[in-house]
Amino acid sequence: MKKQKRIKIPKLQRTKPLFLIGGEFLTIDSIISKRLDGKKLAEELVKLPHEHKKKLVLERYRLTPKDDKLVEHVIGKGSFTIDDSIKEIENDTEHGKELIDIDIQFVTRLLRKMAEGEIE
Amino acid sequence: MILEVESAYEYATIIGALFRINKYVHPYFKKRPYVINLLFGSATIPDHFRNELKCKEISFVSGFDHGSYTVFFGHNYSHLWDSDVGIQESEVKGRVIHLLACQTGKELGVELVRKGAKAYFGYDENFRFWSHEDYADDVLNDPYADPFFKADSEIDRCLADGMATDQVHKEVVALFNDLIDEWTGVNDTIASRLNWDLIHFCSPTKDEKWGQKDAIIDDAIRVFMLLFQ
Repeated sequence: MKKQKRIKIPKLQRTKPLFLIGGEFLTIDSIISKRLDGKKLAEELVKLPHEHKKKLVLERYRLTPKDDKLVEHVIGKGSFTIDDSIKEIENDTEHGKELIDIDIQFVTRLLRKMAEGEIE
Repeated sequence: MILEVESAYEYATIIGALFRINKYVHPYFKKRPYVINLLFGSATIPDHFRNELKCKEISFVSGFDHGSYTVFFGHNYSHLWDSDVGIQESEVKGRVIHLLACQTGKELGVELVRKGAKAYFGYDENFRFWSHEDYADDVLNDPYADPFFKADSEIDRCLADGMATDQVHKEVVALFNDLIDEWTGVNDTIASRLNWDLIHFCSPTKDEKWGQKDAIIDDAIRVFMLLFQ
């Protein structure tokens, strides 16, 4: 039988929320302690209104350690630091909207992996 | 015979070209029985590109530069392939094409296949990657940039090993997933971009508009050399 891979999430990343419910941010640990179904949360996440997704993603960016030397390159569009990305999201630019999609897709993957027992 | 196109005219393309030429693509091709025609830097202009494509023995085109839905760019944003202007059948027929360039999967990749390419690999939205300024003088050891070029160049390595396009797809997706899981446990900012690039990865396995699932590089020189090894 194939051994299941388990991903250990570092302490700092555990503070980043994965869901927003009634104004409350839910982290990995709060989802585990409340015994919420990651798969259902993943399905709900993609249906959240834009403003809720934006709030969630901005909170995740604010909890990302600042490192101005770490730069994202989008071939043909330019280069961006974490702070640049926060401004793009806050200002609802096309790039900012794409950044929200990127993070929501990633969190969806993480929630599904939680449901499959691949996250510790 | 392989045509390798490596643009390098501003920081993002220089990083990519360094990884491809010195680490993940060119050295791998060189260890195998292929003749490689390399267009690098200021040589990646339409005249040189057209000339190289006239060579009938070219079975695989692997290119890196900026892109848009309809254009694969060369040096200083010159247009190497532009589906709005038109693609010549003779430039693509029977060839496997991999473009590490933003967005080309959306229209250009489909047009390349419509004009006779056996398969197209690429991305239908922006290809994103990270780098760290501390490694500006030592790009090849930048741990933040490395996984992006390692994952994409799996396409080149698998094709060079003679795999059919469907198997290439499986290997590339598996490597992307391994790297995403690895980085999820280290830095989710890196992992989220790898996940984005994977979602927008295009191949014949994802949709037949990008070509045949059973295509391989038909390389007469490679076959000849393998037979007599």
